[in-house]
Amino acid sequence: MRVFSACMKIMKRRKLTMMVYFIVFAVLLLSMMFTGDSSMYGDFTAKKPKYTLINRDGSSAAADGLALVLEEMGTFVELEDSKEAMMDAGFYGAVDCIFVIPKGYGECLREGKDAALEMWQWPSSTTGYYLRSAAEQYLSLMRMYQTTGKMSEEETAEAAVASMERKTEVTVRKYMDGAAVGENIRLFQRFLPYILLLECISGVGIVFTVFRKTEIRMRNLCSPVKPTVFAMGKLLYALVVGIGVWILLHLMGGAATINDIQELDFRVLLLYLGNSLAVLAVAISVALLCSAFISNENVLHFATNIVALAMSFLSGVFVPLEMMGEGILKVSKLIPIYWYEQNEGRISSMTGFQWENLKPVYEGILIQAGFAAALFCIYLVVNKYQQQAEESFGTVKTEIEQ
Amino acid sequence: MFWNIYRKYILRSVRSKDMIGWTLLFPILLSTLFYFTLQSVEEDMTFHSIPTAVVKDQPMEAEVYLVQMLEEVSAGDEAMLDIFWVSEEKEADALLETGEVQGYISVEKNEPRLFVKENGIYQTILKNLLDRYIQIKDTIVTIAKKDPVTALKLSGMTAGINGETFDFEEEFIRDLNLTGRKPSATVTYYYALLAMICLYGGFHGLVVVENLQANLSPQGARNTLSPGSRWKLFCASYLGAVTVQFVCVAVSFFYMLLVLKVSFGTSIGAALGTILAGSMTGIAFGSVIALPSKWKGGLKSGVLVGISMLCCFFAGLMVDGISYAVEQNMPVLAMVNPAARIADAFYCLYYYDGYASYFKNIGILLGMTAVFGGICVMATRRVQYESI
Repeated sequence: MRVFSACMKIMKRRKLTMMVYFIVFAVLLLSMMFTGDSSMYGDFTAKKPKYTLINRDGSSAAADGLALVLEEMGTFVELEDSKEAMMDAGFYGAVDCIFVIPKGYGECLREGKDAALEMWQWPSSTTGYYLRSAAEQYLSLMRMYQTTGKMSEEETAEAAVASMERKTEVTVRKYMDGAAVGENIRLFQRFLPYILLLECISGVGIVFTVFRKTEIRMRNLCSPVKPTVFAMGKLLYALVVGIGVWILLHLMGGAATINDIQELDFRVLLLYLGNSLAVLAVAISVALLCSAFISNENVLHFATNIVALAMSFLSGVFVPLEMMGEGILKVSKLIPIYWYEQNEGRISSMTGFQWENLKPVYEGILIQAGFAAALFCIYLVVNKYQQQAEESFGTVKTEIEQ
Repeated sequence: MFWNIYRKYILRSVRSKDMIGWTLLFPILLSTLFYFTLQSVEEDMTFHSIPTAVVKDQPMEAEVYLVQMLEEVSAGDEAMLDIFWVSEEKEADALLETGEVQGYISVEKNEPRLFVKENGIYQTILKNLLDRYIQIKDTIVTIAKKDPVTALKLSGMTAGINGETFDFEEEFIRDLNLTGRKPSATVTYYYALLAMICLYGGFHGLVVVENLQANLSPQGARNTLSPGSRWKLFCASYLGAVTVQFVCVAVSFFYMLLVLKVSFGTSIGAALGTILAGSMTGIAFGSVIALPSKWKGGLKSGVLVGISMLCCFFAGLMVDGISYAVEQNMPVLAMVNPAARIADAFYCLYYYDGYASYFKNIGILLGMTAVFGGICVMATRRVQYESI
């Protein structure tokens, strides 16, 4: 317990720094929850994208019909017909997409010649893509009506708009009691590993860098404490920090999503907690392993960011796994957070609690626990080597020599 | 004296191998990681096939064109759908329940119906596909009432009756390029990473101010005793810090430009100007955080890292599109976020042909630097210590 007590003493002396870390990372998690990429989970057709329609061809039935279709799906933003105005609107996000009806468009359309609208959209904007496909469909239907040769432009536009109003009936199936998992709960769960890694590596590292100071290290090396006892003391401290952070983050997340949680099946909630406890074990092991190599606080900040960002990027925390290529997914499977994210998806779309539903979730949790155990074993080996190896003195200089 | 302190600061920084090493290693490692992850995202943006169940019962078989369309979109290596043909709705429902499919399609009263268990991208794509089918079918039925021959020709879109088919692949919309370069969502990750490195220059700022405060470091005590004016000491160290930081960030920049082939527009000089302005702002920002003399080093580093991370998150380092959302909903916050200004300055060079917006961002960065620097000079001048 001596090592653990020493860790707690150091932590108390650095409580302000640790509080700053906790508050900042908690704010980061909340920001991610409320500004994250909700289109991954929500129905983006329900949102109204902002668009501009610039008509350089004068009034025509086709253009009026297009305006009608777009108006139903998005919010019109008036914009001056100049390149600068369009560039600025696009750059500052005043619009999601800009449609331009070029001069002579109506005539080409009437004569059955190749006629194309021009469109700009914000890169990777799903809402922009949504409006684009609606406009394409409208123009395609107009062209179909036009092939009869018996309808006026007004009639074709009117008929195309009427056809566009036909929609598929969608039924959302519910397989168990309780509401579907809310968007904010999913975003909280998705970003949680990144924040846990940041909190654990910082919280553990900030205390353990003190043990890496030359004079303290030399003092510890000549104490009659076994490397394993040292490691266990540190593990205990890391557990206290990790579990503390885990509880506080969940209380915060719970408060932010209280309405959604109340409607959720409590078994789903338990699975989420089990999954996040498994990823907490991974975060603690990673933090312990990192602390064995980090010698000062400035390096700690860089290392924390590299480890947390790298693991999160590769595991689908920021870029959804569905969008990743096969090659990168093979690498992702070697990272424990990948299995956490997979589990998050499974739990969120859980349809029952039979063995076949639960088995993959339990497997995912066990894989994470396996990774955590393996990383902890590596930490024990590194720790033992650092405590015993004569080489460790090779680069040590006392403060006077420095 | 000025150049002596300037030279000494650079020497001191170069000797701090940990800091220099990590400042160089951090962006190189992360940008390489971005490169591999984002490259695969861009290549695979066509998405994977969507597992979908189709109930092939009597009503479905009656909808010949729907079946044909589904067969077409599920054929080939780059199929949109991965279809599980089942004979009963119960089977499809079981597949949906176990999560093996994203949705299932059945036909009721001559109309396709979609069953899903949640909302999402895949489900929306399935709905759009069926909407398209229903709308085309409605169009053909409407035309058939007026012109059965044309309707027959149109309905031969997949069967190819008489070889006359309607061209559904006709291009109705062309991309409008507002600038010479194609808009890119992935470059912003690299720009935000460079912004983060610039802000991490704040660590130099902490050292610069600590070296001026007698109660915080032995160098501070020595400098306080020297006859040099405080603002000159500050400026010399600050300039030394900017030099070191600029070189480190420039190395990362050239790595991204030459090795990873990240586009920074056509003006390399202007991009280096952004790095210089960003480094100046980052160091000045760190200097301000270092001012409270009662705060310990760890606390100052924590505050610096915390604020930098928040700024970089809102500049789009972690999630694509955040800077765009902040710009729309909280324009003032976006304006005073140095990371967003640095990333935006890079993006202006990439996106705009002219330099007006670029200079606006650089102007804001230099303004912030002047404010931070002014606060530092005002706060450190004429400080005397009764006891240390």
